[in-house]
Amino acid sequence: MNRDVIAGSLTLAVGVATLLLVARLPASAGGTAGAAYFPKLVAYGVLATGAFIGAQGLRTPVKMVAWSWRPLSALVLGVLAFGVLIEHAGLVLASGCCAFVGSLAAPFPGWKQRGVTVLFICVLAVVIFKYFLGLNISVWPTWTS
Amino acid sequence: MDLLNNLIYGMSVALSLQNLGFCFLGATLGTLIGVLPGIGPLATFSILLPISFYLPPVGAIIMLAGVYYGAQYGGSITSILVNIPGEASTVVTCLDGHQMALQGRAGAALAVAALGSFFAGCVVTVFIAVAGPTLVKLALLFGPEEYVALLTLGLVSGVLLSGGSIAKAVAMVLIGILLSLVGMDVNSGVERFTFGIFELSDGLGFTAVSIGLFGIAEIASSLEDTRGEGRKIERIASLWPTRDDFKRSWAPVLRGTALGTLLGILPGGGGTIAAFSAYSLERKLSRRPGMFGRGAVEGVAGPEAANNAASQANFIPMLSLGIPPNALMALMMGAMITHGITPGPQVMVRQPDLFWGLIASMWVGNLILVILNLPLIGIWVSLLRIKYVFLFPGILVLAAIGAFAESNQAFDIYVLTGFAVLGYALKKLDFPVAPLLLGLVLGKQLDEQLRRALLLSDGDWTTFIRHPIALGLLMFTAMLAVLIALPSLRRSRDEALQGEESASSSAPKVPIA
Repeated sequence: MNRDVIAGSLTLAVGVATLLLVARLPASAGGTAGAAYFPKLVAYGVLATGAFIGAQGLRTPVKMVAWSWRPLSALVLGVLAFGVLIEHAGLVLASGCCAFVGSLAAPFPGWKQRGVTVLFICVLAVVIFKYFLGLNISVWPTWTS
Repeated sequence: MDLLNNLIYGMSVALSLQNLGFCFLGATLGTLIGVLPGIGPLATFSILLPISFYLPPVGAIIMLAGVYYGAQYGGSITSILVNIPGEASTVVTCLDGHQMALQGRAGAALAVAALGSFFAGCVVTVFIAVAGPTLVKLALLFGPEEYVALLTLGLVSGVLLSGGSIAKAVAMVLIGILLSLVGMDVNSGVERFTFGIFELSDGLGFTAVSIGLFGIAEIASSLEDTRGEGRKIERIASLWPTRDDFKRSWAPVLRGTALGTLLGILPGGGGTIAAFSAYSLERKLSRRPGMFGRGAVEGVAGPEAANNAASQANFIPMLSLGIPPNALMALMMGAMITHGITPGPQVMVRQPDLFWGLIASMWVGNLILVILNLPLIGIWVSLLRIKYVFLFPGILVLAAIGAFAESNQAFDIYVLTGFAVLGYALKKLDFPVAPLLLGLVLGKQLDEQLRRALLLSDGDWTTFIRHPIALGLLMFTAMLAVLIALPSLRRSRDEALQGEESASSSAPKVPIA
């Protein structure tokens, strides 16, 4: 896979998508520039640079580097878990799950260390955000009260 | 006399117990960021941003400023002790600083770096106090045409500032501009790029985007590089430089300060370029150029003074014109906007406590940093030994809470994860991410000012040529663009900026032939 051809194509895609999205907006409003005017201008620029990046990739091909999925997916899933839990399950559960799932991104010395790290983070989160900064988040699940 | 009165007024703001506390907190956090592995200033800054929303505005900005220049000091510590720059602008410090450490002179290198930076910080603080108001007077003459020209200059210099492919940097700026347009158009009330999602009508959450792009993506790639290991650290013997070190250092510190201040005001000039320029200058002027790269104290003193001077001078265009010269300043500007402060010429007039308080706090902060960095160096060294695996889950939770806290909506967390994946993909595709942030901060303003200018001129584009200040700025921008495209300059730019994006996690490659 050619890295810069992918980069160029994605850039082109952004340009095309922008043009499609603003197509139904008014380009001019009462004889002057409307809401679509500026995004269109920028989109043409995006298309031009995308084409340039892709062409450069064809001239001097660079191979796409491999993605390592484990760190990225663990981190993203950890944050998602936080997002799902925070509104109803409370700060402790949400940050605990986030820290635990996130910690799977890297090999730990052992499960005990992992557990202690997660516990420590939960305590710290409550102390800093609830008691020090006074955030309007419930600490425990709302269904317990 | 005005200047003195203003500075005294600033001091009274900065030295209030509360603000002194925020300044101390910021400087400590900043040093911590600089020292801790695997997370650079951009990432941490974006993660800390939402915390500042819970503080009073002046205190919050003082704290964030402390984080900003504190990170410069912290970055030097890791450069000298472990040969890993905590910050792109301290890459050069590795060259001679780490060599000094290998020769058992780590203490002297740290002291010269801290004292050099302190001197530069003091000089620039006074300089900002003088130059700021002058620029503000100029900025008050600006209409939409001048702002369009100025914003264009800011964006073009954002391209110059980033490392790697220029076409990719341009693409990032443009995509950043498009992202800034998400939400309600203030001129017509029409919604753009919202896909009917209610939460998007206010625009993308700035914090969520920056935490995703920088924070999470950076943790992912640094885990990939290091698998969460700790580092080996050189010992520190005596902390005090020798008489010879002082004799060799004072002139480089003076030159570094002057160079850094100058490059810091220019849009596009930041700590990194300043440090590299100071290093080459010192090597050219030195009577023993052969010693450079082998532990020459001049090679630490000059660049350290220069990067601190430049990063503080970066505040001048942001505070007086409302144009952030780099991505970190863009984040700072984002923080100010969230606090209801519009950076630009009006700040000094409407919020003198913020303007002068911030300037005075920079001096106080620099003093705090010298105290934190010299007597307390042992604490930082022990922190350097912490394994990254024990840190990153905490950073992750901090990031998640931060994104949520900005608006108390789980929606922002989903935005964050989307941008985390995007940030990682962009890194893999070798796109520089910092220019995107600049586009995101400046894009909406450019849209509004451009349309205002065209409205006033009945759609006539020559209006930009008919306004002399705008024309001058645009000509300067064009000149800059041509310079960027010149192959010889591109090479030296690439040399100066290598590691700009990934400085926190990768060891430096030795530049400058």
